[in-house]
Amino acid sequence: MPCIEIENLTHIYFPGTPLETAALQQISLAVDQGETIALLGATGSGKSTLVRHLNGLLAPTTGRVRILDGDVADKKFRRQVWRRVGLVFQFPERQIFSATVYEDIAFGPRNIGVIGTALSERVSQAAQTVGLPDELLQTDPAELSGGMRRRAAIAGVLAMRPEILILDEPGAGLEPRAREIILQQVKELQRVQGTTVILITHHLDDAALYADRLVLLQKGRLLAAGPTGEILSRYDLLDEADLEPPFTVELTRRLAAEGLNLPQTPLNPAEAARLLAPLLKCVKGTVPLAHKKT
Amino acid sequence: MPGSNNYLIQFEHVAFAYPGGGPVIHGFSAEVRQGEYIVLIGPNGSGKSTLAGLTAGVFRPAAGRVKVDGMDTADPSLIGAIRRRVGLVLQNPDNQLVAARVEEDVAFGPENLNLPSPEVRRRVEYAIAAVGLDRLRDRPPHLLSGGEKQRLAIAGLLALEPSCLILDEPTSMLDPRGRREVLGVLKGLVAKGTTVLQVTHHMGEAAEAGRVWVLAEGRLLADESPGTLFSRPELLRRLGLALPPAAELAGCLAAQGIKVPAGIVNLEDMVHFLCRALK
Repeated sequence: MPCIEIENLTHIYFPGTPLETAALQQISLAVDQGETIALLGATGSGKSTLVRHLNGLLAPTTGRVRILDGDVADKKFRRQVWRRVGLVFQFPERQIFSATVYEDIAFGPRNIGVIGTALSERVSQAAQTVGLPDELLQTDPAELSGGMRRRAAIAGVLAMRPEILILDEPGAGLEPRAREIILQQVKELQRVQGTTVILITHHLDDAALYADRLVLLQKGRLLAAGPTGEILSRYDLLDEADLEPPFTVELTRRLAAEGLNLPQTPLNPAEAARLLAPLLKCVKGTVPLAHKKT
Repeated sequence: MPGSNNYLIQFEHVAFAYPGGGPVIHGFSAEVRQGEYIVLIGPNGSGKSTLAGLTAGVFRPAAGRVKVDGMDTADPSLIGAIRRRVGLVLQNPDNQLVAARVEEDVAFGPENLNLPSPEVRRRVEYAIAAVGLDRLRDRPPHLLSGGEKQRLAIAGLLALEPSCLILDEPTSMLDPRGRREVLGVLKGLVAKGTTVLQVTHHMGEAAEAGRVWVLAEGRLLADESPGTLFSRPELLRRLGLALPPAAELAGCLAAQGIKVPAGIVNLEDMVHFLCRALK
């Protein structure tokens, strides 16, 4: 069942002025409950403008956006949809302002009237989800490492228990392991609680690992949307969207140019090794099936 | 002892702590020769940015010495000369752009050196050309893309004609195109003899360096060529760092009993190996 339905969405900034810019044009897209979507595109492709329509920060210039059970054209609905759609901005740790990690995570739910044990439960559960140890809850966020501070900021959004979670480059500037941990925990949240996740990223490698479907934007238009494996093997689309293919996809393309065709496009190194090992093992014997002589 | 060797930068048992904090860098010793391309990797909080600041003379060591071209960064009378030799590029280019037009932004540094105006003009032309911003010279910097802004920040330093550029995660806020642009500029500079010391979390970038320094808890754990470092992944795994995907694939193949030559770190190496093995 779709929890987001976007029909012919167009968004124009500063209409009727010399600065008029069409940031989104004729976007149509449906997202199912419990899906993980990666939203991809170069800087200026409209990713951030699009997700701002999903939590009530922007209203369409034309077109229609339905979220969960409401329409964002309805002002009353738009004003409260942020409680149900959590948006984690880029570098969210810059928005931390409380004296302790606990207070920062508790800020959102307290604002909507959650108090007492219900509040502390929400905080500790959110902290647990992002892998923030309990003993850090009473520390000053400024004393945490970059990765831990990022997790605290994400926990603040999770404590709102959003039905839809949108993350804008959650791994930017983090060491590889910290990035992996955050993405894995988001994936777990989706699996256990059925949260719908929209991941904005430049990293196709991350998208390949975590997303069910990819949505490609280019200059405010929807270039393509489809299952992850399908989109990643379309070099033409990735080039057009100005995205860097994952290593294994690029490798497959280079090998094909040399006349070596893999039976399918591997999406990560382990998968590539599984496809390549049999070819390398039988290379001294008969010509393997996928090996075309040039 | 200036001139006693051909090192551009020397770290001698350097230690550093921020006021009121514990030690961030311990017993750090290393050397950089003119023209080298060194990439510095390490977990968050390992001291990478601090080390970048120590090299540029932004911080002074608590113990030990940092020498740039033989000049001690702890000597206040040399700090001007040191900063002209070493340029520091920050993660977020917005933090280091000052003027209303691209050209003026590049001219800001040399004008401050009180150089005669033909010399300022020459340096601006050189720096703008080196980063490929010729066509955008009249644009206001805030209307540039991320990659263009970062190239502009680099141009502003090149106009000071430094011997060495230090870049603290210069690509982490950029999209893939911006990253390619900035890395292309860096490669061009290295080819022409500029020394580059770059901090990154991106292992693909580290694979392209001449040498990789691995920093953890303020200590230098490895100082090796990418080929050597990435063919023994235990150290990196222990630190929570990844391998470049080509090295990871090489490891996966080796685990399946395939003989893979050591030192495969990038796409070119891997394509070369597979073509030779399969054709």
